[in-house]
Parts: sequence; structure tokens; C-alpha cells
Amino acid sequence: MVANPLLLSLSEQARLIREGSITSVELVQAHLDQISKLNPQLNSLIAVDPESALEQAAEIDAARDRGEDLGPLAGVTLGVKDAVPVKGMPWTINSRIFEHRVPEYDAPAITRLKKAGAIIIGKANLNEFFSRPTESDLNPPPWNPWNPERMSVGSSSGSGAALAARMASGTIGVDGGGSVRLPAGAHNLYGIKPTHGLVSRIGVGRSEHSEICPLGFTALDTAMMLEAMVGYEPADDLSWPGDVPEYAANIDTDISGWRIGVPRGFIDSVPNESEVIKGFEDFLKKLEALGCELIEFDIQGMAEARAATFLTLFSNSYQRHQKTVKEDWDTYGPQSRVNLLQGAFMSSTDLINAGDVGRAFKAYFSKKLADLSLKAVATPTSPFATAERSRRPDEHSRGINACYTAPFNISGHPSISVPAGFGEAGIPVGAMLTGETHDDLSLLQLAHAYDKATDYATLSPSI
Amino acid sequence: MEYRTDEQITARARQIAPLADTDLPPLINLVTGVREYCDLMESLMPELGGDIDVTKMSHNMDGDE
Repeated sequence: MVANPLLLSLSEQARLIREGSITSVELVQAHLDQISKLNPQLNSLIAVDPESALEQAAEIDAARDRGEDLGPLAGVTLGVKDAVPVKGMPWTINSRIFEHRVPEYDAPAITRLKKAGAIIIGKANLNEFFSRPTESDLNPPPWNPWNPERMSVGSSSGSGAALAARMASGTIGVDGGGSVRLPAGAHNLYGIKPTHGLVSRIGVGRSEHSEICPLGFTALDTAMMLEAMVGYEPADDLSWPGDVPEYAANIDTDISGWRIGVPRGFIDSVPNESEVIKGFEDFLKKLEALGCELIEFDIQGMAEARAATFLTLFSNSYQRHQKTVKEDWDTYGPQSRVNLLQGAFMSSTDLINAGDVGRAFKAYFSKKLADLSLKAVATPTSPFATAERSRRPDEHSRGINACYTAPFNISGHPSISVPAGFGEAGIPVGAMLTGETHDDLSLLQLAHAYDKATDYATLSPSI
Repeated sequence: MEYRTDEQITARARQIAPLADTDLPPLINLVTGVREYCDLMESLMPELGGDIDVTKMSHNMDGDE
């Protein structure tokens, strides 16, 4: 007898479904009930498909009863950021421009998740076209379940809020400058931005540096989702054709002796809030207790790489909207339409310069990891403990809230945010580990060891 | 980046979208940030045949040495 399956991790839910201790229909219904109860207050999900979800759950239960092999995610539910196409479900990017758009295809990452048995229960709220949240968005911004008087950090805000509120077993977001790692940190979740190219970006198309990413209650949850999502897609010119290790099966390892870099000088230059630093120092102590060796080192180019990431985003965003924004100006929200224009002021040389800086930083960071024999570099996830403080209107283009996350979008290095405590407002704060390209497994192993040594994954908001 | 004054930004903005006057101040603010970033990128470009030297980049959040 399972008292409350909603309080279990995705991996535990999947195991119980495989064992027959709970049915997928029971789990889906529990998530639907939770959505009915909390979503009107939190605005986490902007579309839900109960009928289809229950039908898929019944098929999985029947398959299990027939003794068929079930996929690793069989019967668990996922919420998907409404920037990613899911066949037959709305695909609005929270904009009136796409208010009635319904795709006829799944993004390849979604196809793979479905093949692993996952049930897409709904589409998660986000900032209109990844801009700043406003009440004039097609759907108003989501609120953080840890303190429902505070906005959720975005742009994958709904993915963070829906998962923290236990409306799904896991969620999927898109990270172009930190938009998965930042909400993961602010919702007491694990969120990994994988090495560029591991997960096909088909369907997102926002920029070459935005990644479709999983958010989970535990490191193992994120590993299971990521493992289902990775794979070569011939139609994606940047898709990785090489082998990828099994993340979930190999996640449990001894991390003692692993060297973790701490760029202390850079961190000290950031206006981190005291709650963030406390959580980060606790995180470092925990890594040390697990046997890791902390290596303080000097890092360069973080500001330049962040700038390069944002310039690339701005240019890509305007390029895609250049016709629509002229013809349908009034249909866009007042924040997003102005933000979208930024890229129109750059030259082709500016864009190429940004790409070159990004490539130079990528090579530099990889060399730093190799020279110092570092498994990962540790930083806070965000300098700020609340969404309100992380989004200052006059600092949007400077992206201070993304000063730790954005450099690794243009560099393509994998990066994971892990829970690291709570701030004064009751909002969680995160810590981040970034490692070598195609060594996502080491990040997951570090996060898993940390996860096992802490109780963050067992905590739920009291809402 | 060639748009350096409020007038230049406003003229370009009027070409690409039917903005209201109230849209201009936030846009000018954003474009000023973009210009700073573009100038930063340009300052890092090497001489012909050279490579970008990350070790000459900043050590801190603001990019200030």
C-alpha cells in the first residue's frame, strides 16, 4: 500500500508501477487531482489533457498485466514547457501569436520520452517568448509553490513550479541562458543542461545554444529522463552521433578524491545575496564531506561568454520574429515584443564575433578542467534568492541573474543545478556544477552522491 | 554596431516595427546594453591571423579589469 505516490520521486514511482504496487492510472489520477487543486492558484500548467493521459496510463497498466517489457519511464507523468511541441497539445510559447497553434508532431526529445513510456500530462507555463513575465502574457505568470506570493523564476517557470507542486513526476524545460537551471534552483529541484548536441533541439529552434532539459526531484530522476531524451537525430545538424553512457545504471559511484574547482575570485565579484552564499558554502562542505577535494582557481571570460550567449539569443530571436513582429505588433505582449527587437540592432559581424568568443571560451574552459584535473566547477546557480530580485528591468540585457549559467550555453558544457537550501522568503536556492563536454555522467554522479547525503529531495512545499 | 544614439535607435526601430512612443525608452535601454556587449566582443577580436586570447579577458562578473 502506497500512502501518497505524489511524494515519491519519479524513479520510485516508475519502480512501483513496474512492480504492480501502484497502477499508472492511479498515479495519473493523483496528478490530475493535484493539478485541479493547485493549478488555479499557481498557474503552473497552461494545458492539461486528462483523457489522453488516462488512456495512455490504462494501456501501460494493461501491458504490464500482460507481462510485456515496460520502458524505464513507463506510466510516470511529465509536464513539458510550452515551448516544446507535443503532438495534439497546444504550443503557444505563452503568446497570443500562437494562441491556437497545435503541432502535428512531437519534438524528437518528446518522441523518445514517450517511447520510454512517459505520459505527457500537460504543457507548462513560461514567460512569453522567454522574455520577462507579465500579466499581459497569454497566461499570467506562475507562482512559486514554496511561497505562492512570489513569482517563479523562468523562463521554464511553470516546469519548476508544476514539479515542486507535485503535479507531475518530472518536467521538461528549455535552457538558453539558464532557464532550466535557474528554476531548478528556485524550486528545490535538480535540473541538468546537457552537453550541446546530446538532446536534439528540433522543435525548439530558438538558438543553437538552447537545450531541452529535464527537471527532477532527484539526480536519478533527471538521469532517467535525460537518458531517454538523448540520441542522434540525422535531421539535426548539431546532433551528437557518438555513444552515450547509461546514466541511470552508472549513477551510483564513489566520488571521493574527485577534484572540484571553485572560482572564488569570480564568485566574490558577483552581488550574491547572503542566502545564496550560505547555501553554496553548505554545498561545498557537503562535497568535502563526501571526499571531494576543493580546488580554488581563477577563471576568466565568464562575463564575455555570458555576453556572447545573450547576443546570440537576441539575434536568433529577432531573426525568427522579424516578419511577424512587424505585421502583428499588437498581438505580442508589451514586454516580449520590445525584447525581441534587440537583435535587430546587431550586425552580422557582431554575431560572428560573439560566436568566436564563445568558441574561445569553450576551449579555454575545457583546458582549465584538464590542466587542473577537475571533474567539475562549482558555483551558485543564481546570485538572487527570489524571482523578483533576479529580474531587474534595467538589467535585463546584462543578465546578471544568469552570470553563472549563461556562459555555459554558448560553450556547450553540461551543467546541473542542485538544491542548496532556502532563503528568507522560503524560496529555495541552488548550487551548480559544470563539467567537461560529454561527461554529463560525472555531473550526475556528483549530484546523486550529494542527493543521497542530503534530504532536499524529500521536502515538499506546504501548500 | 552602428546604432549609437537615441535618434539612430529610434529611426531603426521605426523601420522594423510599429512601436508606440512609450516602447522607445525601454528599447533604447535594452539596445544600449546590446551595444555594450557588441563593443566588448569587438574589443576581443585579434589582429588578422591571430587567436582570441581568453587569458586577457576579465576575471569578474562585470567584465571590468
